[in-house]
Formats: sequence, C-alpha cells, structure tokens
Amino acid sequence: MFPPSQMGYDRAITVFSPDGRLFQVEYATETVRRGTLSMGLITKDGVLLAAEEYLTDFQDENFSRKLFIVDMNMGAAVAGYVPDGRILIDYAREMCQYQRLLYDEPANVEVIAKRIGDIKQSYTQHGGVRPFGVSIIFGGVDPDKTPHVFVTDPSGSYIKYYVAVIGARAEETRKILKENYTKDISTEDAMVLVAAAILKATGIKEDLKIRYLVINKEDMKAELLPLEASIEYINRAKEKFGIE
Amino acid sequence: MVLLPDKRDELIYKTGTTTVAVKCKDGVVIGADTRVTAGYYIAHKHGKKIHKITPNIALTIAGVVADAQAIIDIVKYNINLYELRIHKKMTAKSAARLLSVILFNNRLFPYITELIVAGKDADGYNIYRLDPLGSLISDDITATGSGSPIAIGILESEYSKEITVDEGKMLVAKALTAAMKRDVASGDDIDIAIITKDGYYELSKEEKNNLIKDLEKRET
Repeated sequence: MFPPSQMGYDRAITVFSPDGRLFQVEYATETVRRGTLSMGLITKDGVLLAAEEYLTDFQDENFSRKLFIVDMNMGAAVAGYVPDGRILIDYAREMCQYQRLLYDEPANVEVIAKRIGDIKQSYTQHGGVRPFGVSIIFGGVDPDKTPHVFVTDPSGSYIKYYVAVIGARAEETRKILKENYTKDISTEDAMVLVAAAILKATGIKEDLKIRYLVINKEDMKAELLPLEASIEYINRAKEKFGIE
Repeated sequence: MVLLPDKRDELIYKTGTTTVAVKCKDGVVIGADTRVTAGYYIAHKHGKKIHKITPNIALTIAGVVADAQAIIDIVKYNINLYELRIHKKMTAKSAARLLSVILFNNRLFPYITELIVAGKDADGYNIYRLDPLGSLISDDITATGSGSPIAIGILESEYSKEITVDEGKMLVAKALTAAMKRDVASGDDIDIAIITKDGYYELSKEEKNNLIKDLEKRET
C-alpha cells in the first residue's frame, strides 16, 4: 500500500521521520536555497544589507521587495518565499515599537532575531500550519552603538554572523566574500565587494539589480538606497575586480 | 462607593512621607524618612522606603504601603526578566518608563504611590519622578510625600549643578530633617543611599549620625 518506507512523514510537519527529521522544515529550507540572493555584512561604519532583485517590465524600481526598514536602527533582508517574510517583518516592526513604548529605547538586534525565531519555531511544532519559507537577515545597530547581523532560518534557529549570505548561489558568493572581506572594511568598499560577489556568483553581466540598505553606526539611522545607486557600485566592482 | 473628587484627591495625596533625590556630578543621592503612618497612628518607626532595584537603580516609595510594595515586586520581576532576555543592564530611564506604563495601564484602579527612580543611564546619572497615574518627569532635584513642600524648598535654595555626591548627602540630610521637624507624617529616622560608579550604597547608622552632627555644627 505505501511502498516507500518514508511515505507519510512529510505530510504533517509535527511528525518526526524514523531517522529524526522534519521533512516539511527541510523543504522550507530548500525554498530559501532557491530564493534570490540576500546578504548582510558588518562593516567598520555599521551594517550593510544588500539584495539581488529581479524586476519585470514596467515594475516600479522604487518598490523594495526584499529589503525592509524595521526600525530607525534596524533593517532586514529576506530570501525565499517573500510574502512569508513580509508578515514576519511586520511582527518585528511591532516588537521594536513595543520595546520603545515599554522601555524608552530601541530594541537590540538579537532580541528581534530571537523573537522572530520563536515565531518560526512555533510553526514547526503546531498542527495545521506550514513552516515559514524564508530566512531573514536582521542587521542593525544596538543602543550601545555596536553593529550586529543575525540570520533566522525556517526551523527557528538564529545565528550571529559577520557576513551572512542566504538564497541561491550563497555558497559561491560566500567564497568570494571570504577572499576579500575584513572586519575593518568600510561600508563604501563593502558595497563594491558585494556587487562584485553577486556579479561573479550569478554570472549576470548586464542589467543586474542590487538594492542596498545602510545602517550607520554613529547616527543609528537605517537608510534604503534607491536602485539606481547600485549602478555606480556595479561599475566600480567590474573595474576593481576585472569582471568583463 | 463612589468617591467624590475632593475625597479622591485627599486619598491620592495622603502620602505621609518625605523622600528626596538629588542629581550630582558623580552620582545620585536618595533619601527618605522612616515613619510609616496609618491615619494618626505611627504604624512603624523604621520602615524602609528606599529600595535597591538593581545595583544601579534605586526606587523610593511614598503612599499606600501595600500598593508600593506590590509595585516593587512587579518592577523587580520585569527587570530581572529584561536583563536575562536582553543580556544587558537596565537603565534608570527604562525602569522609569516601565513603571510609567504599569501605572498608566492601571489608571482606573491606580496604585496610590509617588515614586522616585534614581540611577545610572547611558549619559550619566538621572532621577525620575512618577505620580499614581504614571506621569514621568525627569529633574535635577525632586521630593515626594507630605513633607515634600518643605524638603523641596531646602533643596532648591541650595542646589547647584556642580554639586558632588558628598555635598549631596549633606543637602539631602538637611532637607529631610527640615521636613521631619514640620511635617507630622514624616519623622523618626532617615535613610540615605547613593549610586555612584561603585554602584548602590546605603549609608550606615554611624555615617548618618556623623552627617547630622556636621549639619548641626554648620547651623550653629
């Protein structure tokens, strides 16, 4: 009746397979692995978030699909099933405002990453739901002016990084960043490096679209840059890294 | 029973106590008398009105004892959870805001308390004052309780922004003793605590006695 022995263990997410796996969670992670690239880097000036974006014809370039400002001091980049990310970003925004209401201070990046992780975890344990198909990079500056980057994945775990890369071709991108990233890199240089890494990893030569979100350590302000700002950095990357 | 407005005011402002706080260059000084009253009866002569909430935050209480004690328990519960979850020390500013929200959320059945939060912030040492409904005011000097009009007069006439903790202790002692002499609901003894870079410290009996002796010497 049920020829493959593992049949059935990927139907309800609350059920472990005999070898201790949750298939639905693994499938959700696969969604992330197939999503478009997003990354977050700690620089000496603060935090840089970047995302590769695909635009169809007549789409407004000013509309950011994958990068979000969460609070004045915090931004987020998603990869995977983006609508799931939007919902979680909204939770994160509410958490940040609640922190300000209750304690009169901006939230720490870790607190928000952890709480979003908590929500994601609960969707791997309850019946009748599916896991969130997104990884989210939270990047920002804490009230004590230290920059932080955290990644939450569909299982609900959250991990701290200097350089976080999620989405398709993350491996290749990470390899390129590894060769060139240092902890004292400036945001300006990091923007060029990110462009070079995406160029090399994706192999896209023309019409590459990268959106940046910069959080400055000193004024603690998250700023979403317009898409056309990336043109300059892509050109500089091509020049500096000799990409034809 | 519906309380008439004037009766309600009377209830709210019946805070037989004097508590004061002074912001200094190198810390804060907090002081209070120790008399606990129940109407015209002195229920306790050595009641504790200054509470250490964290090593860097002190809270003084005035008003209905049960309400004030409940507030202390609630704020300690919340601060302990905050520090465990966020991995950082709470600032006096955040503690004051937290108390303000708690008080405001209970404005229909308010905690009948006047509180002073004093302690360390990112930008130095600060003091905050809260009323029963949760209004939050930051100031250099402040006083609460029935003896506060007398105490604040002394504080205001002698305070300067350049004051040190050592001078602040003297000023607090002076303001408290003045209030205790003229306010029936304040008296018995004084408690003084300081918060500096070394954290919270409550003055010993001897230190307080010496302070009062110095004060008397100066006045004669």
